[in-house]
Amino acid sequence: MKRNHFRQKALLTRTLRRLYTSPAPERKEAFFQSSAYRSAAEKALYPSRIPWAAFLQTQIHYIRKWNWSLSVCIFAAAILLTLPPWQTASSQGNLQELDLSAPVILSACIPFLALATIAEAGRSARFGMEELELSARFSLHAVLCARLGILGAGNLLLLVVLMPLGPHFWGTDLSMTAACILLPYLLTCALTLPAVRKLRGRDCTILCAGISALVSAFFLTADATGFLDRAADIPALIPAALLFFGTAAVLELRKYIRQSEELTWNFTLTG
Amino acid sequence: MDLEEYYDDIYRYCFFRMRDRSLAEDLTQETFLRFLETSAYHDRGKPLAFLYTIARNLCIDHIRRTKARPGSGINCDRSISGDAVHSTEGTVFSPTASVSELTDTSIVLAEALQTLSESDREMICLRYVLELSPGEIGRVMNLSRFAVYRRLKQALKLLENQLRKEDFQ
Repeated sequence: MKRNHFRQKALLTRTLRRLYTSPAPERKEAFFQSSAYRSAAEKALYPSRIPWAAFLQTQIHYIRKWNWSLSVCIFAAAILLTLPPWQTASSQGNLQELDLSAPVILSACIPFLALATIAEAGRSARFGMEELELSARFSLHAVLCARLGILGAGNLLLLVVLMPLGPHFWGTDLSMTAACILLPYLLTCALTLPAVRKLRGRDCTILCAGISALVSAFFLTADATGFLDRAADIPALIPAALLFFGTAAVLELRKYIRQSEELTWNFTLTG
Repeated sequence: MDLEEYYDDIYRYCFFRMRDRSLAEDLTQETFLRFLETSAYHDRGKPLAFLYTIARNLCIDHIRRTKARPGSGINCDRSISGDAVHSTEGTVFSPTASVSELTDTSIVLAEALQTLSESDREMICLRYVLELSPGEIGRVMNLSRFAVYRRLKQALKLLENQLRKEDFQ
């Protein structure tokens, strides 16, 4: 019965196709080669590439405000730490006049700045939005690069602004200020980026927060445990540590960004 | 997006409606240009249903503007519709093949098609000749998918009844 029905449908379709015939179009090629079609198609189907500046501008709006607020808070804290009670009279890099010196307090805050940046980069993965962002106009890869670039530039600006405060107000030399400001940042980045790369969801957030807290605690107690004093005794140690953790952070960042490219590649295979 | 592959489909649709080769090509090309002008739609899935919708509206506009009966086209004198006696709604979506090309069954079916309404013929043509899915037909004709299913079923039933009648005669 069903077979007969399908046979009838097929016969109907065949007969209808015989009934509805049309002559071949004559001007098809000419139309697609015409300037009217070409200019309209170019305008509509292949829109001009968005300039980098405009792209970055669109991405700034997607970065959450508390990221910027945290930078402002750290800057405000650094300014407060330049007020007289925190200033040292010494100009020889001696950090022992106060139990908690200004650079140490600042170095304890910096890991959270790095954490905020890393958290922002991993937001798509945390909320399971990678697939959607990959299929959007701007790829996840481009979005990641843009947001990390903006936040990284913001952080760099902040850290560069903070660097002269050490020699000027707290009596620490530039190397020690770099150890207190750059080292916690780079160390947190180098340790949290592998976690962001390998873990997902809540586990990743907790682990990153834990790492940042540990780095913060380490630098908070670095003065009391004599780590900074010993570091000051070996002149090459701080630049070497900065170079090592800086390289590690850059390599991890590269892997993280490449991982987003791999995702694109995988999705094209399964599409 | 490769629009060229849709040209033949849209052209055939316009030809079945207007029954004039040159006019059908003009309307097809106008359809593509209109499609490209409405830039808001481009990245939203398949363009075929949208192209059909534009083509359909352009054909309707043209008929309204010129007040011309599409049956006065070049094919009319040679085609089945020229022989058909029951058509009261013009020859829009009437079969276009010439009588000499057809078998007895085709002629009977062509005459049965003439008894259907214009929109039913359009629907059958879109479904079985141009091979659109019911969902796409619904988008083109502004109907729900279920309405398309229902009306197609009704149209086929009418055709079947008509063919039975012809058999008895």
